[in-house]
Amino acid sequence: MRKLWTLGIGVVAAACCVAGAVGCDSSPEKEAQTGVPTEIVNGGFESADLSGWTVEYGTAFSDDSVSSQKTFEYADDEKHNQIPVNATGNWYLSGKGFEGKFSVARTGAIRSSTFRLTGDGVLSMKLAGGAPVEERGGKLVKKPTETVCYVGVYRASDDRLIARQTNEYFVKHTESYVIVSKYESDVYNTDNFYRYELDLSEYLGEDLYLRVVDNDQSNYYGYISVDDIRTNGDAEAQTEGAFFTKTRSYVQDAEAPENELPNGGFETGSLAGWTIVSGEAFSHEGVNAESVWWNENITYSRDGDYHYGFYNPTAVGVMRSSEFVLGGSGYISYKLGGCKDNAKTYLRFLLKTEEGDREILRASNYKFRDFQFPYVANGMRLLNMVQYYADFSAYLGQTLYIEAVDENASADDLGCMTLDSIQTYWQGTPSWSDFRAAYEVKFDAETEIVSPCQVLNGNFETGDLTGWTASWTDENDRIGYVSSESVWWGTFSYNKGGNYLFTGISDEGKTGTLTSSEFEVGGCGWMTFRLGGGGDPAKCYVSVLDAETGEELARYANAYFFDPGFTDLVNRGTNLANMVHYRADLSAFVGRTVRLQIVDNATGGWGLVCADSFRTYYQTEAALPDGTYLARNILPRETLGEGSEYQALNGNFETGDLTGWTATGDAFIGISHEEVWWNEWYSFNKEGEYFLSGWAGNESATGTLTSSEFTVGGCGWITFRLGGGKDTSLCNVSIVDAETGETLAIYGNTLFRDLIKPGCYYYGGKPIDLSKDGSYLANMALYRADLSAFAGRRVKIVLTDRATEDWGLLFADEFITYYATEAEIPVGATVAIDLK
Amino acid sequence: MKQSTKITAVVTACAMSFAALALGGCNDEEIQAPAGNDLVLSYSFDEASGTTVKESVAGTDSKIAYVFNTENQANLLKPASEPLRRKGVSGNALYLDGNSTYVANDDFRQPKNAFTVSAWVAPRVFENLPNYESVYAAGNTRLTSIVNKGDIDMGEGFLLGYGRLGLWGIQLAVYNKDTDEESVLSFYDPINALSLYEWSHVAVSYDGKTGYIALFYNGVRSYEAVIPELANTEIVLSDEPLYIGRYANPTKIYGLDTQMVAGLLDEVRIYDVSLSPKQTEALYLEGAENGAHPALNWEDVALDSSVYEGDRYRPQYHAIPPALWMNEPHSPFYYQGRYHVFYQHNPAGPYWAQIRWGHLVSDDMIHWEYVKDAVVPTAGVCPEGVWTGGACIGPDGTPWLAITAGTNTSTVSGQNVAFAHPADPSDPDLADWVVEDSVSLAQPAGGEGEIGQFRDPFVWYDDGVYYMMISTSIPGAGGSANVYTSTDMRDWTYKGYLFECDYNAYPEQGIHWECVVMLPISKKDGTGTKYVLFDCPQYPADAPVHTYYWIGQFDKNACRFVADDPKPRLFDLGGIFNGQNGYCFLTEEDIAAGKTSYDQGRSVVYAISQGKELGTTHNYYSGWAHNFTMPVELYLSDDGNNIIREPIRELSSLREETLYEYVGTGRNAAELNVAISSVRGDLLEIELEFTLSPAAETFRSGLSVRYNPTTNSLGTERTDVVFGNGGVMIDRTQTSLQYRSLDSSALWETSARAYSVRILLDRSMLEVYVNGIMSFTTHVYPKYGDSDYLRFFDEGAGMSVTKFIVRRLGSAYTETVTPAYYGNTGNLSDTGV
Repeated sequence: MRKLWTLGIGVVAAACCVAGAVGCDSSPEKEAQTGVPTEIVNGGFESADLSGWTVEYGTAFSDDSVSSQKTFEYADDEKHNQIPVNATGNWYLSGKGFEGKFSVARTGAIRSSTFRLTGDGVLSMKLAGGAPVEERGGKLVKKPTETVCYVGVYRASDDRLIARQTNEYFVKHTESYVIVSKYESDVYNTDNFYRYELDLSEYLGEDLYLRVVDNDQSNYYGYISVDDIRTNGDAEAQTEGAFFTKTRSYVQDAEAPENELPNGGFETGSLAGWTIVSGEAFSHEGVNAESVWWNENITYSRDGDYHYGFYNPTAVGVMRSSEFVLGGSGYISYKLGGCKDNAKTYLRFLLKTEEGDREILRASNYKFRDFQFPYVANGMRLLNMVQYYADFSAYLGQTLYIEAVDENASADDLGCMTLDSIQTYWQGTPSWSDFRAAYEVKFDAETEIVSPCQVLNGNFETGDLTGWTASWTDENDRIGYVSSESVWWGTFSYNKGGNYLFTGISDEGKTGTLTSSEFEVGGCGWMTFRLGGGGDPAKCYVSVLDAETGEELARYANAYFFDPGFTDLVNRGTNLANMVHYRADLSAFVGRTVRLQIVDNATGGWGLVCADSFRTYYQTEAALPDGTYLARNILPRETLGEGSEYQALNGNFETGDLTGWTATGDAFIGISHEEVWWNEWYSFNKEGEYFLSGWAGNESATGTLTSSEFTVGGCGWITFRLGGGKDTSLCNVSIVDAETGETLAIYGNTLFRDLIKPGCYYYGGKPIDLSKDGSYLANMALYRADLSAFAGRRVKIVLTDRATEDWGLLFADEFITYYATEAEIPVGATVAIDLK
Repeated sequence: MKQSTKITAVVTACAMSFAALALGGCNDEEIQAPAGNDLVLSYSFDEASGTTVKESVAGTDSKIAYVFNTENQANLLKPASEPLRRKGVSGNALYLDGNSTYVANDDFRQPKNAFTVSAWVAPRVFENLPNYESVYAAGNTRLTSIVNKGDIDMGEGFLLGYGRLGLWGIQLAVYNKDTDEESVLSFYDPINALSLYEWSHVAVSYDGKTGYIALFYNGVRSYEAVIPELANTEIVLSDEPLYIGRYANPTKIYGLDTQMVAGLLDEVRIYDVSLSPKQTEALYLEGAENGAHPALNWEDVALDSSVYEGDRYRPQYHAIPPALWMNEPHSPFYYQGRYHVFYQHNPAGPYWAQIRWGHLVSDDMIHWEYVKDAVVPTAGVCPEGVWTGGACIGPDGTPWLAITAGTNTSTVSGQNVAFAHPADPSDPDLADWVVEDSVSLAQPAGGEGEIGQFRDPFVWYDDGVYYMMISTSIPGAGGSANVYTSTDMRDWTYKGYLFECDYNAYPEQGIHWECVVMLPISKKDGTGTKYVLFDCPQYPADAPVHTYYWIGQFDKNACRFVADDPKPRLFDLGGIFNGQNGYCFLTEEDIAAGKTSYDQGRSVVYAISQGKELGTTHNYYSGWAHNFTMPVELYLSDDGNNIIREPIRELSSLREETLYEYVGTGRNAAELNVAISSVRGDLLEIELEFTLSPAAETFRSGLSVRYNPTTNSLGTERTDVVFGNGGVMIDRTQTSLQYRSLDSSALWETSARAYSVRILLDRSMLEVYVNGIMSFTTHVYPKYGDSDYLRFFDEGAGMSVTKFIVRRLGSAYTETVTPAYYGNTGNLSDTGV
C-alpha cells in the first residue's frame, strides 16, 4: 500500500464516473449521434481525482494532484497575502499536488477521454504554473520548447498534435510586496489560473482528445495546473464537486521477515514499524516521496519510492525502530545523508541486555562533504545519502534496535537527517549490484568504557565538562571549551577522537586548570590521550595528581609540538593545535587513586591546550592503540650531581635551565625540550627532556659554558652527547683542571658528517635517526672519554664555541661524570679522541 | 516497394511491451502505413558488396565515398577495398568508419513545406563537438550527421543527427513567410538518448503549414509541438547534395572531417509529407519484426581490422587497436589466467578525440583479442572523456578500474578519479564494465597538487594496503604525483607527494607529469629489490615528451620514493616510446611456486609506439595511428644501477621459421653478408652477439635492416643499427625514399666492445635491445617492396660475430600473414637508372 488520501465529507458529484466511460454530466442532446460525447470526462476535475483521465507516464500527475486549495502565497511575501487561485468549482488539477509539496522535477502526462468537436469549435481551458521561461540570474530566458508544460489537442484518428496551449501569459511580479488585486485582474499570472481559448473550428466534427504534459524539471514553475476544460464554446463548467480538504492517511503497520527491520526503507510511505520517542523531528509527514531536492534537483540517491528526511529542520527528536534479532553475517547497512553536525544528528544502535539497553555504536554521516556544489558525481555529499555498513557480528543472535536522533535545532537544511534502506540482515558481506561506493563504519574506540580505572568523560563525548572541574567560574576566564568542531582555523584537522574534544584554540590568553574525576591506576598501568597546543612545556602540560595528597606524580607535555612556521604542513610534521596521540606509563602508580589536571599557565606562543581521548584503562599493553607517541614524564627531577663529589651539577640539563653551569658570550643561552628538527623530523637523540641547543642562540654567536667542579672518580670514564660543531678546533669540549686552569683534554664532535642526500628523507610521522645512515649534524652522538689519567683531580668541563658559521654551534646533553666500573658505561658510545 | 508489402504484417501497438512510453494508447486500430507515393528518397543498403548503394525511389545508384576506394589507390598503403556491409535491421546495413564513409546524392530534390525523415542507426561513438559559429546558427550544437541537406551553419537545409552522450534531434533552417525571416531551429529528444552498439530508430515529422514538429524514438513520440515559429514556414533551399553519414561543411580535427557517422546505418527514408505518429510507428515496426526491437551483435557493429589487410606499415604481432586511433596503453591487470590491457581510443577516426578506454584481452600478452570499449564517456561521472587510469584486483577479488573521469568544467579540476567494475566477473573477456555513479577522489580547491592537473591514477596492492598515485605537479615546483592509501579502496588518505624532482636542475622534467608509474624491480635471482619510477613530463622546456625514470627505494610508510640518483634518465632512445604503463603481477603458477609478495611478481611495461611523425594525412590514408610497443619485463641489473628490459618470453610463441642461424667462434661481416644475401622479411626476430676490435679511434659497424641491395639514381633504403666509436644509435637517414627527413635516434654513449643485441621488426616497427640495459624503439617506412634484406657493415671496427639468428615471426591475430602491399610503389630495383 502506498500513501492514501481519504474523503473528508460526503460523496462527490462526479465520483460516479468511471475512467474511459461517458461523462455522467453529459446530457444526451449534447452527445453526437455516433455515441462519441462532445465533452471530455471530468474536464473540471470536480471528481476530486483523475477520473476520466489516463496516466500515460511519469509521476507529475496522480489523484494527489487534484486539489481544493483556494489560495496560494507568494514565496517572498512577508505578509502572507492569500492570492486566489481563481479555480472554477471546488477542484482543479494542481501541478504542485494537493499539499503543494510535489517536486518541480516530476514529469509525466495524462490523457483525457475522446470527444467529438462540435458547436463553434472553440476549446477553452484554464492554466496556471508552467512558465515558458526560466529565471537565470534575475533574467527571464525562454525554456527549450521541448520541456515547456502544455495541454495538447490531438486528432484521435492519427494521434497527431493539432494544437498546443502553454501558459503563455505567465507573468510573475517582481516587487517585494503583493497586490492581490493585480493577480485577480490577470496582470500577474503564476499559480492563479488564466483562461485560454483555442479556435479549432477547422477540425469540427473530428474526434479529439487532450493530453496534459509536464516534461519540465526546471525549478522555475516547472509544473502545470489545469482547470475547467470546455471542449466547445457552448459548454458550461462541470458540475461543482463537494468541497473538502484532502488529508493524508498513513499506513500504520509493517511486517518483516525474521532478523529484518520492518519498513527499514520507508516504502510504506509512512513511519510504520517505527516509534516516535520524542520531539517533532520525526513524523509520518517526514517520509519523503521526492527523489530530488533544492532548486538544483540534486538526487537523494535513495532506493525505492520513499526515504525519510529533509523534514522540519528546526525540530529535534528521536525515533526508534522495532527490535530485531541480529542474524546472517551480522552486517547492518543503511543509507544516511545530511547530519551536518555529526555530534547532534546520528543513528544509535542499541543492544538489549538484562542490565538495560546499551549503546554499542553511534554513527553519523561521517562522509558529509560540502564539496564542489552541486555535483553529486564529483563527491559532494550533503542531503544526498551515502551507503554505509558495519560489522555487528559480535552481537549475533542478540536483540538490537536502532534510534535516529536529531538534536540539532538549527534551521540549516543540511542539519537534517536523510535516511533510507536500513538492512539488518545480510547473508554475507554486503555488496551492491550497482557497484555503488559504500563505506564501512568501524566501531569507535571512543566509546566510553566503564571501569573504576577509567577517568570520567575523558573523551568529552558528553559534549560538556561533565566529570571535570574547571578553575574558572566566569566563562570569560576559561582556558578552553568542549567542541564538536573537527577543524581549527576553519581548515586544519584537530585529529580528535569521536565527536567532541576540549579546545583552547580561542582562549590562548587565559590561564587556569581543568581537573578530572578520580580514578584508580589499574590494568597494565598505561594511559593514552591526545594533546595539542602547549608551545612551552614548562607552562602547558597534563599532570597526574595523587587524589588524596595532591602530590604531582607525573607531568606530560606536548613534546611533539613543532612549529617551523608553515601551517600548510600541518599533518605533515607541523604540530600546533592539531593533537598528537600519546601513550604514558603510569604503571609505577598502579593501585593509587589519582586525578588528571590540564594546566595552562601560558598566555602566548601557543599557550593553549587542546586535549581529548583520555583513556586510562588498558587491561594489557597489547590493547594499546597503534601509532601513539611515547610521552616522557617531564616532572622536574632532582638536580643531577647535587651533593655529589664526582658528578658535574646538572650535567643532563634536566633542571630545564643552566643551573650549575657558567656561561660567557652568547653562544650558550638556551635549553630545549624539542624532540625533532627540520621538516623531515630528524631526531636530536636527546636523553631525558632537556638538552643544550645551539639553536637557542645565533649560530654566529660565540662563548663558553663551564660546568661545576667535580673530582674524577670511579673508573675514570665520563660520557656525554654532542652534536653540531663541525670544526672541532673552534667548537669543542675541554676538560680543565679546576685549580690550575690547565687544559687536560679536548674533545670534539668528530663524528660530524653530512651524508644527507637532498630529497631523500621525508616526514613520515616518525622521527628519523640520521645517525643510522652515518649522518651527524644536530643529532647528537654519544661519546665516552677516558679521564682515568686524571683520577682524583678536581676538573671542570668547558664547552667552547668560537665558530660563526657552517654548523658553528653545539648541541650537548647528558654529561655523566661518574661510572664506578666500565661495565656501567652505556653500550654504543664512541670513544672520544683527545684533540689536544 | 518494400515497405508497403511488409506493412501487411500488421502489428498492434499493444505488442510494444518494450516501449518506454506507450503514448498512442492500446487501441486495436491497424497501423497506418505511410503512402508509397509520398516517399521521395529511400536507401535500404541491402547490397551485399560494391561501391554504390541504390536509391530506390529514383532508381539510381549513389557512390559510397570511402578512403580505401580505388581512386585513392595512389595514396594507400594497402590494396583498395570496398566499403563494408553488415547484417541490418532489414537485409544489410552500411558500415561507416566515422571518418571517410558517406553517401552523397546530387539529384535529391528537397521537400519545402513538409517532410518526414527516418533512419536506423547503431553508433560506435558520440562526438562532442563545438557549436556552430556563424550568425545563422550560432550556439546550436554541431551534430554527427545521419541525413543532411545544406549547411545549417549558413542557414540552409536540415540535418537529422546526434551528438554528446547520445542526444539526437533535428536542425531546420526555415524561412517564415509571415515574418519574412530566416532562422535555424533545433529540436532534440528530451527523453531518450541513443545507445552505443544498439539499433535506434529515429524519425522526425515536420509540417511547415501548421508549425508541427515531432520526434519519434523507436516509434514512440518523444517530443511534439505546434509552435508559432514553425507555422507557415518552409525549409531554406540548398545547393549542397544530400549527404548520408556526412555533414555538408564539417568541422575538422587535425585536418580530418568530423560529424560523420561511425557505426551502422539502415533504411534511410525521406517522405515529402508530415507523417502522423501512427505512420512513423509503422516505419519503426517494419524493422521490429514481430514487435521485437532488432538485436545487434556487438561483432557486427565492432571495428573491423580486416580492412587493413596487406598494409605495409601496420604491425602484425604488436598489440594494436582493431582500427583507427590509440594513444597510450594503460591499466593492465592479470585476472583468472588472462591478461587485460586498455588504451586511449578514438573509434571515429585516426585522430585524437572522443577519448575512451579500448580494451584488449590475451592469454599470453602476445595474442590479443579485441573487446568492446570498456569505459566510454558517461553522463554524470565522466561526461567529457575517460582518460588514462590504472587497475588492480580490489577487496572483492575482482578487478577495479581507476579512471580519470573528465567531469563538468564547473568543478575545481575537471579531472577526477572514479572506479569501474566488471558487470560479470565470470566473463573471461570482462567485456562489460559499469562505472560507479560518483567519483572516489576529486581534487579539492587549494591542495593535493596543481589545480587541473589531477589524472592518470596508478593503483596497486601491497601487503594489506592499496596505493594510488595521481599525476600532478607541485605548484610552482614542477611535476610530481600525489599518493593516497586505503585499506578498502573506499577511504583514501592523502599522503603528500611521491617524489620531488628539482625542476630547475632538470627542466626536461616539465612543469607537470603524466603517466606516473612505479614498479618493483629485482635482480634476476629475485634479490636486491628496488623500485623504478617512470614519468612522462608535460610541457618540458625545449624537449619532446619522453619516458624518464629513476631507480630508488619506496618508503611504504611515508609513501615517498627516494631516488638513488636525483638525475632522471631516458628509458628508451628511439624517440617514439612514451605513455608508459605497467604492472607487477603474480600468476597462479607464480603463487603455486611459492611467490606471495607484491615485489615477487613480474614487472612488465607497455608503452605507446608513436607513429605521428608522418602526419594526419598519412594517418587518414592508412586509416590507423599508433600501436603498443612490445611488452618488456624489467629486472634490476646486478650493479643495481640499470634497468634490464627484455621482450617478454612469450614472444617465442610467434616464431615460425629460422631463416639463418650461426653460433660459433666468430665470423666477420663480409662472410655473413654472403650467407644472408637471400634472407628477407619484415616480420623478424634477430639475435646478435659480437665483439669489436677497432683498429682506429673512429669506427662504425653494425647491421642494416630493411636493407635494399639496389642503389640507383633515386638512392637506396636501409636503416642502420650502428655500433661506433661514440656508442650505439639507429641511423634513419636512409630509411625511406618517400619520407626523407626522419630523425635518427639519440646516441647511447658507451665504450663497450662486446654487444648482445635483440632486434624486432614488425612491418614499420623496429625495436633494438642492446646489452639488456638499453633499448631503441622506432619506426621504419621503406617505400619499396624490396627493402627487406639484412646486411652487416664494418668500417674499421674489427667486428667478429659469435651469434646471429634470424627468425621469421607470424601474426598475433591471423593464421597467415598477407604480404605487405607495395603495388603502387613497386621495387626499387625496377626503378631509376
